[in-house]
Amino acid sequence: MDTLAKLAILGEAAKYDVCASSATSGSGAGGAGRGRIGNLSPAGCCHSFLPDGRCISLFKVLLTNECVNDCFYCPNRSSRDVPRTSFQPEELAGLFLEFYKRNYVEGLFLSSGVAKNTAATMEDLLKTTEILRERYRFGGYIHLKILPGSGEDYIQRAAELADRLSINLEAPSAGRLKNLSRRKDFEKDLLERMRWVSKVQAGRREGKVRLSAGQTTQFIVGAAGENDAEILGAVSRLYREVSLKRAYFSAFQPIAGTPLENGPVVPILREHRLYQSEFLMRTYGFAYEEIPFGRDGNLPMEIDPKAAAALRRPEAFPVEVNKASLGQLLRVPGIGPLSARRILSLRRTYRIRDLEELKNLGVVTGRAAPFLLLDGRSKKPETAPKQLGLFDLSVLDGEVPADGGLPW
Amino acid sequence: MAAFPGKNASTILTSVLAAETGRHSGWLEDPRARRRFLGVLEYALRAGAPGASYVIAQVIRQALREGLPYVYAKTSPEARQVYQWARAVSRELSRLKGLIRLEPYSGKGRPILIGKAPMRYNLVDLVLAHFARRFPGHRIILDTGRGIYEWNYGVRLVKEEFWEEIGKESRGRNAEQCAGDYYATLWEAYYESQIIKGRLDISRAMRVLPKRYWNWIREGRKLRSFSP
Ligand code: SF4
Repeated sequence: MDTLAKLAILGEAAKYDVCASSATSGSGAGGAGRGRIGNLSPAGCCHSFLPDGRCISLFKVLLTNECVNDCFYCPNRSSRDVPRTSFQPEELAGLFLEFYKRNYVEGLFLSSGVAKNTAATMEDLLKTTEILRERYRFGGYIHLKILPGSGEDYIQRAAELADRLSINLEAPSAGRLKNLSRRKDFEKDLLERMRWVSKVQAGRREGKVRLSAGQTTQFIVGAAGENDAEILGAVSRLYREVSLKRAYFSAFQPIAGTPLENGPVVPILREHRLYQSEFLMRTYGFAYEEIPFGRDGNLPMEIDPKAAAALRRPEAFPVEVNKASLGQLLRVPGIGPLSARRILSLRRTYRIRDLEELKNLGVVTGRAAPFLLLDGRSKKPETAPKQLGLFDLSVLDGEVPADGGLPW
Repeated sequence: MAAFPGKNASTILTSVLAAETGRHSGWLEDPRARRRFLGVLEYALRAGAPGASYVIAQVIRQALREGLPYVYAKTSPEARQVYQWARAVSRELSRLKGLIRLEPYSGKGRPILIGKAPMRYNLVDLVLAHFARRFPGHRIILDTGRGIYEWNYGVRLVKEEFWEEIGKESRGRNAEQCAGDYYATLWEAYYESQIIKGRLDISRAMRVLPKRYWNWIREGRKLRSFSP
């Protein structure tokens, strides 16, 4: 099979994997720069957009779509009758570098099915990455998938080569994972590996470990019968226990020829509400307990979670803009971390008196006004409160810098 | 009056200036704050709007009198205007970094990477510097349609003979039309493979990537096929 045909198959097989951002906080061991091709960037950079508006930042591809496993939702499961193919490590590394040189992508996101066994496939994944780092002296961004059940030495080596590692949990608990896979052991194959990544990451300063963008995970939403509270509960534990950098969510889409082919199509809005809530926990400092789940453990669909959380606590509002703490400001719908910091900074020398001033600070005043007092008075917004757009958070999340990364 | 300890004339100068100009000009003595502020003004200037230097001078006065947060809060119309310019320039730079395609050539000397893009703002130096950092050991050329530039410890104008050197046919060619480039075909196939039919939302795509950029990129043809 030629490269073109392989690419069509192995690109397609990776399209449900989510990897929004290539932003990193550091240069990593082994260093970007220093005469290497490619470098890291503190802000994400989109190199193209798909017809649904998703940003293409990374070359997201599988090394092989052969797989010995049988995950019920997966297009690559062993029993499914689809054309199978693999890249050779040399071939894939060379292809990526040519894409990178043409500025098609910001980095590589390399994943794989489990071809013969986990060890052999991990070796090929590592070999591809080694060729890039060592032969081609590539210093840019690489996100490497760790296969379930990978050995500790593979994880160590992967952390020396990649900027980000991820192990897909897919489901929030062992019980739920049973609805998705017969072979994967939640505790042993997945969680334990995440702990290993976390351990390797903790020793980052001392040794050769790169891992400048930490570890992430992904959940298939709605395939295992779980609710949102279970998913976000797992995410919140993972932040604490394995220093998870962030979680990705992929709304389940049934695939023909799999045991879940007749499963329900999960609305993208559910995936989006999960992103919004995860964002509140990770960036706004919300505790898991503050996330406004309904009785069924799911997030409300008709209103965004921040507004829903605020409406549930009428006693906490309105807050006085000129006195409120950072935490209080961050709980006001329409005020984000950047605008909250701007308010605090301006307040030191200036008394904020009207909504126009808040708007200039980046506050969405139509949403915020009902929750605020300005100089002791409540002000009516000129425009009616607006529901947060379906994808507004992606703009805040380094995926698409709204202003190209301007600092204010 | 306080003494002005300083290691050199420049720090003494900024200390004196800070003390003389207003209650809130302390930021002058903070190199990071100063750099950041100047960076924003620098971006705003690159928008090339008529009268920009006058507006920027006003904003500097406000920053010295009222402090930086006053300016960052865009409390005055001048600060708002400067912010708008800087933001537009910053966005455009981000797009240029992501969407300019590079066409590789291997000639006699260093390998060459050629990018072609019209410039709405004066960003040639920043774009060239970005790619030069990313591709050390390469000769980076940028053709804006109005001039050809390269990065050689700074921006240099490239003579017309350059095209003789690498083959004239590449001159008027949009990097995305380079039919002979097998990797462009591979890229297009890859792009197609990422489309999820159940998620199509072309109006969102048009919001995040305005149509005027579509012919910069080969996959713009595909986007066009979905657009109304
Ligand atoms: S391990 Fe499961 S999810 Fe991964 S490729 Fe194989 S079948 Fe698919």
